Amino acid sequence: MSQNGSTATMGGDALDPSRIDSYRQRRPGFLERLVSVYLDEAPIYFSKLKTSIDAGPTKDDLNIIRMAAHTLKSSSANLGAVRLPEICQKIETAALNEDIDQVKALAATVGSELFAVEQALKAVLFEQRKAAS
Amino acid sequence: MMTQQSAPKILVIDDEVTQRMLVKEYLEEAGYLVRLSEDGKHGMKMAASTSPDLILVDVLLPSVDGYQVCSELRRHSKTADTPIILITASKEPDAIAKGLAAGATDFITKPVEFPFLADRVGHVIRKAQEIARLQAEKHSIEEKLRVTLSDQFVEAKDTPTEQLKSAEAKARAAEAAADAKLTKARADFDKEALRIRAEAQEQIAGAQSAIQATITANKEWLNREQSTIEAAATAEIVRSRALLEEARNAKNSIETELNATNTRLEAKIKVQDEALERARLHQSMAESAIAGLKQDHQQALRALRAAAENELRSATEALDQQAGAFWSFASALSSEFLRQIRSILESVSAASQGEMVAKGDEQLAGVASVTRELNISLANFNILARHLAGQIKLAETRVDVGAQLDHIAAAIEPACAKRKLRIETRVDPALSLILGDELHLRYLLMNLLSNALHFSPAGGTISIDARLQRDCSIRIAVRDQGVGMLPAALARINAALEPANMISSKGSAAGFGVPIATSIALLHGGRVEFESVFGAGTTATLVLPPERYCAKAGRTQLASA
Repeated sequence: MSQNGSTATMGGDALDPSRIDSYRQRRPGFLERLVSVYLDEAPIYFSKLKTSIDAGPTKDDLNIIRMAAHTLKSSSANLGAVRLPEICQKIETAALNEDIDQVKALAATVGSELFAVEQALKAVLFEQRKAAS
Repeated sequence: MMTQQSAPKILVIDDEVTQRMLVKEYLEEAGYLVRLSEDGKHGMKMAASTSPDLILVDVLLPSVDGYQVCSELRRHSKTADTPIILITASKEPDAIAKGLAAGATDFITKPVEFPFLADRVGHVIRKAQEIARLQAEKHSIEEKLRVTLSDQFVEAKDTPTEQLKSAEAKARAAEAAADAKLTKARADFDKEALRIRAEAQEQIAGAQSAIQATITANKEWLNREQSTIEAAATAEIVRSRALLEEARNAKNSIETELNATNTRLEAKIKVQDEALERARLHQSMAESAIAGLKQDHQQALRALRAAAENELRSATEALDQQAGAFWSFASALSSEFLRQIRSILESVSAASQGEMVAKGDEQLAGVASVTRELNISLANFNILARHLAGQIKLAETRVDVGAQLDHIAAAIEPACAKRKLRIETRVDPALSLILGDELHLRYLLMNLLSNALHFSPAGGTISIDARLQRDCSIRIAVRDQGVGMLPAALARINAALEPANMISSKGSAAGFGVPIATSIALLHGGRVEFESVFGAGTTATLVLPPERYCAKAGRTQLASA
């Protein structure tokens, strides 16, 4: 929590506000760049995840799923996402264990959770830009 | 902050972009020179070409994983001693064992606590530098020792056994000294390492407590801020509620007032409606009363008119009866006068044929003349009276027009001669006989001629023109050369010829002549027309309808009869 912006107003509990607040203290424009990059990249990994799950998945697909989940987990954690890294971690583990049913079941929740994270981050972005202008 | 030349170079090999960004951000801020690579192979090439002071490698990389990268780097001379920190996932169970086997210097687990990253990196670099320094020192000592031992060994070969022994003893002493130095160096290194680690841990603890203090301060500030905001919000809510209540009250009072006004208005409207209804009722009553009155009035008017008409009719009838009686009396009286006049005329005629005439008794001649005129007037009056009394009955025969005109011309001859008037008679050869009352027709024509005679100037001409028209109607025109009539006078004459005006026109210039002529013409189904040009003369025309015309055959038959 900082005085020039409030992650408490993001709505929802998809994000841990302290993460974002620590980034707010960095060099000017860093938080905006970071959030923008995440908002650009995260849907790509989600799409990879989804396409591979819908495809079958084969053993190769499971590897792709594991990598995509890992990357999404890592980046989401970096942005302070609360539940999304956990879900991704479970998918990663399930993919490693070749537990396809579990992968499918978990993948269903990724979309909505990612959407919540994205909404919260968009609010952050909006606040940052407003404060900058 | 380190200067650009002395700044340690860090190579980051990580496929995840936010991770790269964050590492770069935090390390650059701490003064490091950061190079980035997205995958293992490329990262290894970069490591070989840039000789970094430290390499950060993510374990899970797409093609070549972090352990392999680590092993490869260790195999290359340039990076064999470069400190490598492996970034591992916290859930990976044997990451550290695998990492140590691959040659990793240190480990960081995800999610990375970036605020401490620079310290960690700094510590590893310093430790690596220290080890390098100590190893260099060790190498130097070992070299020196080797050189010394070698010299002593050469010397020993040339000296006797004692010397050799002494040399060996020296060597052993030197070796012991070297070992002691090495042991001391190791002990120093460990001590220094422990000191550095303790220092680092102390720094970390300090940083952590500072962060914790900041967090606590922020939390407190947040709580205070929240309380202030909540208090303000509560006050605002209270004020808003009061305003709302006020607005509600105002609304209620307006509504009440509005309702009262509505009620008043509705009552007024009701009263007005009732008044209007009453007015309408009154109007309709008045209208029906007016209609009744109108009807009564019209009935009364009709009754009055009928009564007046009846009265008029009976008055007219009475008047007609009286007129009839009067004209009957006038007729009888004029007949009696006529008989007496004729008796006088006969006496005068008898006398005139005697001596008195021979003596040229002008007085007698005057009496005779006046008496004849009186006779004519009286005869005319008698005819008119009989006509108006409805006593005239036509004695219709076939009348010879030419003969009648000749007869009349002869009758007025003396008068004409006296005034030097000439009479020209033209009879249409086709027209000889007409159907009519001979005596009355003669009166008619006589009257027309009398008028012409009366108005003609001395020495003038009177022309009589009898013609059969194409439609077999008959026109007998008597034209004089008198002064004629002005249009107004002509109009009066023609108006007088209307049957209804015949009595009132008795006093006109033409005397009885015109009414007599008209009434006789009417009895024959015809009429008399007057035309006149003022100063040029007047034409009086008897017009008889076609049924009055008789063909020549008729005349032949009549003649033969």
